[in-house]
Amino acid sequence: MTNILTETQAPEAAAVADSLNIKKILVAVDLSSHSEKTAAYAVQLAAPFGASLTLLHVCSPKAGTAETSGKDCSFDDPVIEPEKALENLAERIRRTYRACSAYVSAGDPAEKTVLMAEILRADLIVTGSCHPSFLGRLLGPDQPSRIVHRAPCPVLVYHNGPTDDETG
Amino acid sequence: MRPASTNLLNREQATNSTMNTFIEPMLLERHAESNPRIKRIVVATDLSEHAMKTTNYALALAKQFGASLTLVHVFEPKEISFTTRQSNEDFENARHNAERTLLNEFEEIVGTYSNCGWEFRVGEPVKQIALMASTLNADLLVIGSHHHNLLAGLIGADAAPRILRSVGCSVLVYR
Repeated sequence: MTNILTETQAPEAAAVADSLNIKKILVAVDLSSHSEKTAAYAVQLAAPFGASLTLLHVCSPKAGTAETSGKDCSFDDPVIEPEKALENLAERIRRTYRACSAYVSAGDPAEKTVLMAEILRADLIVTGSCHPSFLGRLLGPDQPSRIVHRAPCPVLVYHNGPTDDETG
Repeated sequence: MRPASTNLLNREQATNSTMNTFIEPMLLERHAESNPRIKRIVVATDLSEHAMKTTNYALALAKQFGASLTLVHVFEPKEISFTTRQSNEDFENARHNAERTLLNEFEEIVGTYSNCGWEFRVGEPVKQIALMASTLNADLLVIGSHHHNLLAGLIGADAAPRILRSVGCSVLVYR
């Protein structure tokens, strides 16, 4: 984690906003089909500010990616596939926008996203929208709402049409 | 947390991974190279001091992307069991004051950025904000969130999560 800050230095800004200082954008993705568009949207946001992008995917124990028992899972096979997918996504972003790095973590997605934002001192978190079922909302708040509730910085929840049912 | 790329250095490249098959070829590149799609920004304000910061943030975004900016304030009438002349007057005074404050904020902003407007609504805030975002065909709704404590989150005092579930556009929650 110590080298994250040096790896995510922003390039020269093409244009500087009047009063916004967005230099580090954390993009939380779940590697669903919606992640592609969320990442592309984040690139569009980052470019005018010359901001760096940090992609983060959190392997959630609930998704069956790891046995954590409340602790971070060891990074064994369950995260290899997400790692590959995330790096693939990051690599494709770098073709058009170089200041992009990618990180994989494990645990509670909202908690880890907020933690990463704090470590990075991110200026903005971008994540995908989520419209869970009524039952899902009863059982617990969705991840974007949880991120919003705890985030140390502004959070942009990207919505890509009325039929979205996945987090980004 | 660890860098994905670092851990991939000694591993087989993901060429046929099932996790990658969802990615439509060139979709990302096409989106990334296109112009930002933020052309209409709606900012919801409760006319508080924090809301002013939220509005300024939205204004800076609007300037950056050349987007229109619409300030929306929803005046929420307090529930009353019966109406009297006094309560009606109080309601009208409060409504008028809120509208006047919104107009003042708008006039302050329009002096520096002409591509903006304002809407004053009466009703339930979450519903009205979602309705305005839809009616104005907003690309981005900017709202503030300033209830950091656990109790507020539990009782739903922070409207941000409810708005997130109600609107059909991207939402930026300013903190």
